[in-house]
Amino acid sequence: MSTATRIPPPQTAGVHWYGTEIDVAIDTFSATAVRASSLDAITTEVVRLRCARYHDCRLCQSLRSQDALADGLDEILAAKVDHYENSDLDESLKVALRLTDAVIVNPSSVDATMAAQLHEHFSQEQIAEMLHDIVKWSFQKVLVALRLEAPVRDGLSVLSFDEHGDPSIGESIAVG
Amino acid sequence: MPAQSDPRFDAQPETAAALAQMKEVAWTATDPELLELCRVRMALMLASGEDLKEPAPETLSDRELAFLAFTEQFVLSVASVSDSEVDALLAYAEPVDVYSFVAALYSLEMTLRIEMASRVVLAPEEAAA
Repeated sequence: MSTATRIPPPQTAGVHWYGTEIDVAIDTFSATAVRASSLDAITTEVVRLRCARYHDCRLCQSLRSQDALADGLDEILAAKVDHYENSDLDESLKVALRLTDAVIVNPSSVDATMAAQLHEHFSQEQIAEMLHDIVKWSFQKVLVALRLEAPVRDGLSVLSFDEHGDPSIGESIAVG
Repeated sequence: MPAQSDPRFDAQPETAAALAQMKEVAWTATDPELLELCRVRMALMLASGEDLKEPAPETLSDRELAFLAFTEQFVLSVASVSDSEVDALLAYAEPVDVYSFVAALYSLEMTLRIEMASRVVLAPEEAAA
């Protein structure tokens, strides 16, 4: 599979990708979704990582949330996302990942059992936030389709968001 | 007038409003007739429950077929989209217009996906009815 960009990358780095009206609308939605804070940082991060790996976003897979790192995320936990059902992850994280999988693979598979599991661990507000997060992180589909998602460096980098919800990729993370 | 947000997401009103706005802008970001053709294909692929019919294949142009083929792969497995599938779009549109089409497709597709999930997990009484 080719990983060369399929269209010329945007000329103005960091400003709404190509500066189109749809870019502005997507960025506004994304920033609003990021500012929502009813979910803990680890739950938000495992959902982000699951989307990144399923959609094969090289950039997103190379990032780790600063907030999740502060809350104890490490590479042992991150690796468990790939085989979460057979892992010792908390049941609440497994439920969040089941919803993520259902939405990004086959949303018609969401059923009453999944709804009951979700409501056992999460409030209505948290479930709504999780669904919005799945949309937000899945913007990577646009980048992957056009192969615009090259990582900024080899290895892992810190992903953070400012008070407006705008993203920033920071220093590299030493692993090992 | 602001776009109408999904009431199932009333627990997250600000994000729901921004999502509704993104979905509305999608229709002006690209050719709306082409986008509707691809939206119908997406909805049928995802078994959204809408009562939809597609035009007969022989009535579709090569341009429409190229965008539909891309849409199918985008929905099934974006990681498997090929250079040739994107090149087929570039035969009919400038790169930035291809980007806008894909961004519009993402907006409609992911909105549809969470709408389908939300019927069950945010409004279980609706799903049971």
